[in-house]
Amino acid sequence: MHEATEPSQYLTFTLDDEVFALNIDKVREVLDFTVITKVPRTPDFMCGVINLRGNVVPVVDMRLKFGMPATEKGVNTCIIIVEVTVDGETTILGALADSVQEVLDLEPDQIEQAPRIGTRLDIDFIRGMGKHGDNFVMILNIDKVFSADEIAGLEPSAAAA
Amino acid sequence: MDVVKRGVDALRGAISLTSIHGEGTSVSIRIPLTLAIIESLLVRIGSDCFVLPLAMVQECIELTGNDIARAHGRHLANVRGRITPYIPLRQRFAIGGSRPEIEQIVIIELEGKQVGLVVDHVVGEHQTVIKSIGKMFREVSGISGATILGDGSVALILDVQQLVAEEERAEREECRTGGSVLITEELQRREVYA
Repeated sequence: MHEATEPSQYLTFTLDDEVFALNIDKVREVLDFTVITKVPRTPDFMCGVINLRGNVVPVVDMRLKFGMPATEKGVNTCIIIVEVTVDGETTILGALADSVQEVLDLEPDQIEQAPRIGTRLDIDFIRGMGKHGDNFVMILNIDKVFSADEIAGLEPSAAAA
Repeated sequence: MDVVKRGVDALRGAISLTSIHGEGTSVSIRIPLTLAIIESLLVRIGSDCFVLPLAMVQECIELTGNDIARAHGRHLANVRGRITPYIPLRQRFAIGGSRPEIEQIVIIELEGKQVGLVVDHVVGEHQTVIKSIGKMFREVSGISGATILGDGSVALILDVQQLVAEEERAEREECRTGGSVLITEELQRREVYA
């Protein structure tokens, strides 16, 4: 985990009532839930593809990746378009979220290292735990969540612990 | 040679070698679709749209319940006296919903042989601008790209060669093991990542 010297901004979103956060420089845009075209012969967490201004962008269900039950489409469900950098190459993909909340400014001293146990998620997925008021938000390492192998279309990495 | 392989892989192509001792070697490079516009046939299964290259399409005929009954469960159709095998795409792609009473078989000519692909509706000709579907889907057999339709929705481009090869492989496995391989594989794939 690299040490940040300035406050960074994080976009918080919920998955099944749990709050997660992503560094704002990984987030391109947030879209309302649109029709997703399912690609056959893909694992369940790959929802399919969408048309993003003429480009075909894959969409994944992060809840399934983290071992939670599948996302139920609600009025607040949205797709967060993120940039994932793997081996120096950047891929754009969309991630389903139950709702998007706010952009937080977190000072480096408000971010703690993720505990090795107790989060029920692969330790690599979490970059740290941010403290916001009384609550903790799990800051995701999006580059690890979608591993190089998956981006290359090979075997998906193991999900929940 | 490595540069050639990498280049061909980047285009989702395939290289094959045949070599006969004392006679020579031939290298075949098969390059599927790249960024281009192709004339294609737009078909629909359930609510999903697919396109396939029009150049490969010979004709479209109907497939009724009677035809299926007459073939006793084998995927064979009688096309003007010729026995033509077909691939039930709805089954292979595990698409939900119910089968319509009358389906359509799109007869494709592939390497001199005829194969049918069963779809719900043949929508019509479509000028397809090929969009790359991304590296995440590179290993998906049977889909080689995507296109954006006039209404903004995405249609997937079928790779007929891969579909037929996959079907052949699965049927050989089925004969060996006596079970339905592709359905089992699809269910297994979903189970593992659920």
